[in-house]
Amino acid sequence: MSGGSDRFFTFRIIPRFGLHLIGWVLLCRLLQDALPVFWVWGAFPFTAVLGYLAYRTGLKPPFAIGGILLVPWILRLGAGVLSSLVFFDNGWFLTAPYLYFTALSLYLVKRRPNWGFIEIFLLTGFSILMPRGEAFWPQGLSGPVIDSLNLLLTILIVLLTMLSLASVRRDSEIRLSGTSPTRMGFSSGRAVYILVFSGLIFLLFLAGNRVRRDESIQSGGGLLASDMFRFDFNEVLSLEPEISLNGELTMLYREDGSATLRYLRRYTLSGWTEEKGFFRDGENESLLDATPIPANLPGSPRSWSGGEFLSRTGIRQEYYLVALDPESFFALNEPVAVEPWTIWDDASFTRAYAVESMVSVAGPWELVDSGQRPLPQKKREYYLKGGDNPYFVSLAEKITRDYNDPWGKASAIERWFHENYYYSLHPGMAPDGNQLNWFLEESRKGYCSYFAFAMTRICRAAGIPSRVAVGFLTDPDTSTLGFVPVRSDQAHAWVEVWFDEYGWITFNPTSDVMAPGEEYPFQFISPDEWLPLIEEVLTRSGEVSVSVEDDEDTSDEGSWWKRAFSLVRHRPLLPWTVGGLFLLILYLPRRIIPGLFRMGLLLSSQPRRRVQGRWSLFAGSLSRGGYRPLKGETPLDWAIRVEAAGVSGFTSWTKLYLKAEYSPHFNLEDEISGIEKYREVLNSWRKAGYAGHLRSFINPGWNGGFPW
Amino acid sequence: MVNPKRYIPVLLLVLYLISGSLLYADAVDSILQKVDEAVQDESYTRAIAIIEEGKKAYPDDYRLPMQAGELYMGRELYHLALAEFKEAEVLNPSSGELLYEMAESYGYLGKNNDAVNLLERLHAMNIPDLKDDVIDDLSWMYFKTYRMDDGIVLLETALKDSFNRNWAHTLGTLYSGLYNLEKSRYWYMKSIDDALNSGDELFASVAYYNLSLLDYSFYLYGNARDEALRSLEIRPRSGGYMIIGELDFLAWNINDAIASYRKAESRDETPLSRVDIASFYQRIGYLDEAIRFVQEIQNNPDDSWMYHYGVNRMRFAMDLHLILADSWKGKSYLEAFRIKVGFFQRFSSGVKRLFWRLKGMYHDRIYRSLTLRYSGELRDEGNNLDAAWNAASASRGYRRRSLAYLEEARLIETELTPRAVPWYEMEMGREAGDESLLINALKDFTEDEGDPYEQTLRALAGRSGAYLQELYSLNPGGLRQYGLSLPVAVNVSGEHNRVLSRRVRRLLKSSGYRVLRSAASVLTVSTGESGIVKLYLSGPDGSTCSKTALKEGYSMERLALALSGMFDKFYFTPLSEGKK
Repeated sequence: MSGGSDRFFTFRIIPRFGLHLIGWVLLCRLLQDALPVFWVWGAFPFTAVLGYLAYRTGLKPPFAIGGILLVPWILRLGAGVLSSLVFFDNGWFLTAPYLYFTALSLYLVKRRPNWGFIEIFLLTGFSILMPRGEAFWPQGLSGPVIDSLNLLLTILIVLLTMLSLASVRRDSEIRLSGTSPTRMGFSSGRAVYILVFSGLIFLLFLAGNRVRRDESIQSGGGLLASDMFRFDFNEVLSLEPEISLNGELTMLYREDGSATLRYLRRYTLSGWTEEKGFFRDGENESLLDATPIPANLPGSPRSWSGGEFLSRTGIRQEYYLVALDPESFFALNEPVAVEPWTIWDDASFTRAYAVESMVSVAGPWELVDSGQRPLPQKKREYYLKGGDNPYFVSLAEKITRDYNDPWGKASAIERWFHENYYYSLHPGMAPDGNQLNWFLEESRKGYCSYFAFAMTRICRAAGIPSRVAVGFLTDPDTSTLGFVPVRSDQAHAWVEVWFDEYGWITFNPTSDVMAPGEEYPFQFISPDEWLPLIEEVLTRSGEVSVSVEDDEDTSDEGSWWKRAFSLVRHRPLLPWTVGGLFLLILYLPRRIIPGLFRMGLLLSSQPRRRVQGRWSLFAGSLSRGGYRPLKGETPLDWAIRVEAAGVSGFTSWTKLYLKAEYSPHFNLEDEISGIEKYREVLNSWRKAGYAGHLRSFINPGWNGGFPW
Repeated sequence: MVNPKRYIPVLLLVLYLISGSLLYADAVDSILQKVDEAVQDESYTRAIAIIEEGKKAYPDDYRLPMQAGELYMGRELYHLALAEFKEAEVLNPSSGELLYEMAESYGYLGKNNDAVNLLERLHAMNIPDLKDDVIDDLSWMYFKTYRMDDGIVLLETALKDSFNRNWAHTLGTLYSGLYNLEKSRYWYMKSIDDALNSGDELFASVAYYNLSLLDYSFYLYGNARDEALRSLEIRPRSGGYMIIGELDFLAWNINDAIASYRKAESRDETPLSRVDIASFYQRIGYLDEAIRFVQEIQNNPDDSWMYHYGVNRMRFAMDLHLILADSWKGKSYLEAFRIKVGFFQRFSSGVKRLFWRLKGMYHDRIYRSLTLRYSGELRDEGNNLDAAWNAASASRGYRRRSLAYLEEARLIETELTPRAVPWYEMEMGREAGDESLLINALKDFTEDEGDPYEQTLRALAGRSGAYLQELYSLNPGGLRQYGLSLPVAVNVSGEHNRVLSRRVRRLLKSSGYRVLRSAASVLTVSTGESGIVKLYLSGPDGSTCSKTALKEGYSMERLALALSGMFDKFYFTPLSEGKK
């Protein structure tokens, strides 16, 4: 230390100490089963004091570092004497690296300010990466409260990191300049920049979101699509060569009576074209149906005429959406009424509603005789579209040759898939791109979308109006108090076939025999995840009221927050995203953009531009590495000062740079000479010690810009 | 003369009050009936909704929250049930039935002391209808909280008035907790006789199982096996198969042991049999399987089954973490023995070993921490033997402390039964590094004690090749995971024998194997005229344990791969499940 007292030092060390403390708390929560209580409370303060004392007593590094390393072992000896060695070791062996890191960092804070960048980098990364799930927070807190606290903690970590970086930079300046500090060191102007720039990044975020959605469709087998904000079914059924399963909890489903296997329908995919395959054709469906069922949840209660089909019974269902798009409307085939609810503010659910459906209980003996009330011509043609393909016509004839009635034919087609095909998550890539034919003729294995797609085509070819339906298939064995948790890997595609007088009847052609050599990757959701949700519904059911909203009014302020809570809860990438955003904001203005510009100069056809680019890049590294130009200093003065500090050759190289900048005469020989000087300077810089290199690498360059 | 008409207003008033309360009672009864109907229809939320509405209309009637609590109890939602019962208790603190349900829910939630407090209150209330059940549950909870003396007094007093086989059985369990073999056996047999006379096969089967556990804890293995078999004969239950499995494992009949464990697992609604299987797999070197079993157990957090067993969360977690600690540490050692070639393989192997070692250390520290806490609780309860034994287990490796605890436990237990002596010889010999103690233990273990015999051999294996060989013959999979391996002699013949010999020796030595001129295991390498390199690895008994052939050259990589496979097979403990 030199010249004058640093009265702001204590203030500047606080953010770094705060980061250490947060890291310690996170570590202790992770290891809470193993750490003795006295260790949790005592080890960190002791270590922090040890490091700070080592600094304050002005010990030379070998003594200070040696002391910091040895003191815990001396204490361990004492613990042995007191017969508490096991307790001591239970804490020591698990936390030694962190405690050493804390003590050494606090010792080095003034002596080697550049080490502060490493310290902050490691601490921030550690804090962001550490798990902060429900087990981390005190018991009894609700999901949204935990999510809010997590978000607050992340913001606190980001703020402390920024303040710490500023303090490290300040310490470094003071050390280099040898002057007493006259200000704390953090500019409020930068805070404004960060706030403004955050908005721009958010827009970029939304664009990236779309890319994520597209990728998720592929991995979700064409059924499910997810982005950072919503998780819903895709409106086009695509056939993917491979899918991966994810067992995330999507909703709680409830109906009275004993739990039964249910098809919770999200969409019907009635439209078909050769190019798109099956897709949700809301426009045509609404033209064909007298009272079309909406794809999204209405804002107030609604009802539809049920079509007066035979053999149907009313079933009331309740849906409590967790990770799904709050607008998604699920119902058993066929819904006749919906009652959206307004639920409590801090709900763990994004949406809740009740639906009344008329569900078919028609048996085969009834369906065999259907046909007395055929579909209107236009509707029939629509639901037979794609049935004129010769391949499917011949296949339909082959499968249904022994049957005359639609029920017999549809059942035969369903049975044919069960008996001749396997279930597989890896159907494989068709050489000609025709996944459906590949499935039907070659691989004979696929997941539900393949089976539904194929059966619908064959049914249409057999003259039976049919459509694909997508949604979830429930698992009644997981029912508790009538609530059934529904996971994302229960997403399913099936077929609905039209029977006159009986309406749309569900068929499930998906084989339940795994392809040879494959195992179904069963997912498990711990009851701890959904039992609290059931408890929440049961204890707060009195706070539910029927929503009565103007259908055109879609601005529900509450739903924005609900989406945000759902986003935070169900998107564990959020800490990573926040961390990534933070880094981008930090590095973009002074590192990334200028760096790109300077690298662009390197690619120029003009020698002088290349020299300018090379020099600027290197000068930027030097500046960030601790050799920042002073106010009023010309480039040449700076270069002379830097050369005096040990980077030899920099003065002559700078003169060449100035020639490139200002002289009308600059040629290739000058550039070649410049390259030689560059190599000389680079060699010298490499020998200057890696602390400067590291600082140069980590420094976001906020004050690394040049005054010229 | 008194005019009766004067009393008419009074009579009318009384009638009015009575009818009012009757009407009130009718209304609540009607609500309760509707709730019952809803439950029968499995419309649980309707049932809850009816109750909630009823609570608003009749906030002072305790029966409504109590009904809700019973509904939740029936669905194993014990937290919710307890909350409702507490609400009901505020309204009616003296309802015996309510307090009993509350005690039960505390028990299922593992809050044993709270359960005991409530049951003691109930016992003091002396409600005739609940008396027997209260005594039964209270005595069981005394066992779970190690208040053996209180339980014994309670039951002996109750049994003087009338015989109840549940009480007799629990009394036997309480005496077993105090390590009183005779009295424990006496009361177990009384309860068994009564059960058999009454035709209660399930009870008799459970009682025989507990008797078997008692004899097992006193090292009376023959009796334990007979009683376990009798338990199975009366009613096949997972407990019976588990204890047979443990006896077989103790005797080191590992094939029979795994067969019994599997039978237990197929009937077991608790994870206990899977814990036994995980521990078994770890001991014979199936480390990945052991870890997988434990992780599957940990994925299911429901522990309400513990209410009916003499185990609590901490003890259960201790067992799991011990298996994980040994398994991860074992994997780290195994990785060290994997034959590696080149910098990248060595580097990645080093990283894996460090990672697995840290995981092992993490679980080990949790195990020690939990065990020390458990030991403290046992000490507070007065169970000094188990406290000392657990403290010794937690202090393994800390010689002074561990030996002190072991000595304390030894003094108590050898007083109860001399059959415990060789166990202490093994533990203390291992801790102190005292060869003579370990050798004594080897001599003193009976034929039924193959498992501790195997552990003692391992402790001695570092000192003598004979013990190492004997350990290998018992449990090949139990060597490398503890850092042990048989020395190997390398015999190379045929073409390129010098190059081959150099390569093979280098590979083996760099992976931690001791290569000697003469050794128990022999690796024979021969090259034929066709250029095929044949490798044979034979064990101490001379038989070939594994062999392979390299047809396309003998580069370091190919040799490493071949040798890795051969040694994995050599150090593999085979099992033939389903033999029994």
